[in-house]
Amino acid sequence: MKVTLQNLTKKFPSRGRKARGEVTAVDDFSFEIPDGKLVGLLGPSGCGKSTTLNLLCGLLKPTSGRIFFGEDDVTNLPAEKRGVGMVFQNYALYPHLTVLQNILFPLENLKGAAKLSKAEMRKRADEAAKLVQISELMERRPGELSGGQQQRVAIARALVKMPRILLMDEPLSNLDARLRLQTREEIRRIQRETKITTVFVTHDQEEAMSISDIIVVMKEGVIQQIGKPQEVYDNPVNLFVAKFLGTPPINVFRGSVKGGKLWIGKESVLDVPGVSDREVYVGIRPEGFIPVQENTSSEALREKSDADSGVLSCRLSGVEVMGRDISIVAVHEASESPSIRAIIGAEQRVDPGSAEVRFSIRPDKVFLFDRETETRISAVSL
Amino acid sequence: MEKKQMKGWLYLLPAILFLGFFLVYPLIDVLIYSFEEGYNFASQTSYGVGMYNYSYVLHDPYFLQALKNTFILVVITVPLSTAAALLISVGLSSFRPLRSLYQTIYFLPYVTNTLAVGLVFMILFRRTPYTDGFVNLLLGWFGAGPVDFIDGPYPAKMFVLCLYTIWVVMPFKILILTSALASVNQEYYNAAKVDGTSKFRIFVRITLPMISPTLVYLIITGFIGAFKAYSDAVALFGTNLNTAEMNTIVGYVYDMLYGSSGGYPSYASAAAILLFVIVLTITCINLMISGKHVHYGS
Amino acid sequence: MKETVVLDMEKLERSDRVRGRILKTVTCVGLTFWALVVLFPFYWMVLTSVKSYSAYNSEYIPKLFTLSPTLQNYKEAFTAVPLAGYFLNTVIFTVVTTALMLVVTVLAAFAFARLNFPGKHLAFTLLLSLMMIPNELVVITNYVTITNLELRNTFTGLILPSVTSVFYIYLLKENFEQVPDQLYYAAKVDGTSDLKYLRKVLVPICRPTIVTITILKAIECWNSYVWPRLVTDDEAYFLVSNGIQEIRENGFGRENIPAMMAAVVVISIPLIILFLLFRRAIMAGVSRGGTKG
Repeated sequence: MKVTLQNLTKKFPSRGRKARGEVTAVDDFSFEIPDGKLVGLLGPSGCGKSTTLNLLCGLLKPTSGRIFFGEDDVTNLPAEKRGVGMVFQNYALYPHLTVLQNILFPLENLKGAAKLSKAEMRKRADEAAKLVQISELMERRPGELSGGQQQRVAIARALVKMPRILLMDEPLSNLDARLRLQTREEIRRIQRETKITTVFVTHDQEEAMSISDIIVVMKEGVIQQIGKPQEVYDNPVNLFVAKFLGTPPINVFRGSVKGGKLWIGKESVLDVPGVSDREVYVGIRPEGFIPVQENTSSEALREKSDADSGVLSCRLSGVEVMGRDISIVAVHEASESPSIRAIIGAEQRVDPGSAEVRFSIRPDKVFLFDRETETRISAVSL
Repeated sequence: MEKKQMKGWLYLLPAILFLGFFLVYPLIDVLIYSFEEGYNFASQTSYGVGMYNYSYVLHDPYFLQALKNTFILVVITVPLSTAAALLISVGLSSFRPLRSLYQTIYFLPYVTNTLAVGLVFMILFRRTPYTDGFVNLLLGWFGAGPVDFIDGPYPAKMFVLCLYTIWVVMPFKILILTSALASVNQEYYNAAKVDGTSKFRIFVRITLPMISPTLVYLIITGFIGAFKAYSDAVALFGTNLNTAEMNTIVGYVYDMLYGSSGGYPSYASAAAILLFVIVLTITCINLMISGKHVHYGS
Repeated sequence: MKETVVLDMEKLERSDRVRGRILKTVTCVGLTFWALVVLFPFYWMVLTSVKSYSAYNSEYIPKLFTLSPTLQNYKEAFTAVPLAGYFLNTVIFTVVTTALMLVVTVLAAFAFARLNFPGKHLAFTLLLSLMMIPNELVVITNYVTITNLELRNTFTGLILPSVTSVFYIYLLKENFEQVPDQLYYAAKVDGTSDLKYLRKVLVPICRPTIVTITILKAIECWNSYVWPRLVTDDEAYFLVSNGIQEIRENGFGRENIPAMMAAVVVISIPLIILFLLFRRAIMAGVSRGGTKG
């Protein structure tokens, strides 16, 4: 089922006594979710992602704009008539009912032509349970289950009525780190198997990046960027998106463009032809740094010549060896954060004892943002 | 170490003195009284031990009247007040404007003097040669009455007693049920709504089970409270309840102890213990029934 | 085909909305009805109290309002019957009983919550089992005891048996136990005595619960009727409840209902003011630990 949002806006009356205004939780959203995709709504708390989800499932009515499921305009349909399945953040499993009764609950609500026989209901419930692999827990009560198991029951309950779309509110936030990894694979698998268009909400970029077909990055009620995770990561449209995606986070420097060259501090680090002179923020992904050894090895030289530009000198404050790769922690006075972090391959060597480290920069890992608007400046060669 | 051990008891001492003297000793004593036959209050002597006091009480028409009144009162007021309080609380929780005002109003009877407001009820319902009273005025609009609810026929008197009892116990029940309803997580209702559950089904399958422990608590305390009814009856019908045929078990106990027909602590004790046994039995039955049906949250 | 579906949807939605509105109206009417039932006796009590004696008695059909309010009845209530005396007695009784109850309860709760002594568990189990004992059972012996000690018609006789409240000890003990142990050990390390720790740390931290039980006990005292009735037959020691009953049965020499209502208003007002002032605390307290009856 394709889902279309058209100029969707939701305003809440503001809570404060003084300000009698309105808070715009969702501001003029327009996007289309292709059929059968897994979409992650991503943003910090208060960005309107949960509101969007509640608008989709019908618990909230939009102030303006329209929502379509396929060709049907569902904007004014109440939640129960939209045919959506929802997995709530705290699962909302009824504690007094067994797992089976919980899963049967939505089916028992069906009326008229849609009404199912007892046997049919049981069959559907068993199928859903099998899909999420909880068949052996049917007679337990939610209180006797682990967090991960409760999550599966909640998904089964949402899927059992064969919803047109599946919505999940922070599906992993109540699980511990180990379970989270496992459960997100599980969600991916279930979504692939059922091919139900699924929208989930998260504030964890790693979670969103790892399983979504499409991510929607939001901030303060406004969509910042929509795209495949890798595309968004490689091509952030503004400083916010660049900062929000990626672990460790992107390193941001104050810099300037003068005469086609990018300057950070007193050093020219990169050629940026076609960018007019101005003050900028420079975002450099941790993997965009290449340490330049004093006794330059041939490889580093080649890389450097590729970059065809200068180097960035930083004060070295630590080297963390993590096996697969090495993390270099350094300090630079133009950096927006107290320290910067570079990730390099484990085969490269950095002397932890030296006071300074010099990097050449991979141009494809560097993003320039206007200092005023914080939007991306695309240079011809970048 | 010795000193430290004594310290705990020292802190407990006032409580032990009060409880021992006015709760534990009387408890034992009341048992003894109830089996002492022919106890004389003035000389404080008795001439035997046996079941005579119980047999006397159980054959006393006043006690049987009191027993009947109390049972009618319990059977009518407990279900009615609990159901009405549930209705009002559910209404209140779905009704945003004025909620706080209504909650305050509903709670008022809790902080008023039962005797004082009972007097007002008496005046509202009473019919005298000089006036039919307000309630009869209302009844008159519907073409009924007039009835004297205070000195008139038994059902009318029972009606007022039940009504006043309900009026008095409602605040507590509404308050407890409102907070129980408010503590049900909104997510359950959202989940049910997304699944297309009808309002009635949400109430029966989700709300009721979720608040069932509270309901059981209210029903049990309601039973206990109603069995101990007394001052409501005094407020409406005066202290001479036996003449008014409106006595309750507790009223019977006090009348045996004190007042025009008083001076018989043995009979009072026997009646009090009978009351205690009845209440205990009913509470146990309540717990047994509810144990099967009630969900106690995890 | 599609059109009819849309039409159906609209119809369905409209009927849903209509049903919703009906439900809302019914709820509103029901709630308002009960509010009126609750308020009406209060209104009637105030209304009657400002009608003059002759006006009230001449109304065969009671009037729902009065155009000539008078305060004469209030004067009568304070002069013809010792209402001020009842009032004062009740204040003394309430204040002393509540204060004693607080001291006893706080000390006992502290012992159970914080101190270790042999027999503590047994003592606490006994205490819990005492919660089941209805007052009606022990009143008989207490009556005999107080009579034999010749304490009838004294404040001592009124107050002493009314002090204890097993349930409040239990409630406060539970609250005391929620205060982290570290605070106690920290105080011990600083050389604070138990009593000082109780006074300076525990009681302030648990203030909400203490306020709750104070208010609940005060309400209970103010409205108590049975025990005062048993041990007082001298008007000089009547509390308001007994006073009201006395006024009803023998007051004013004749049946003066407006004056009776004035007395009822006067004795109802203190608690209503207390309630309106501490509405939140009282309602929270009752829902946590109150019962009636």
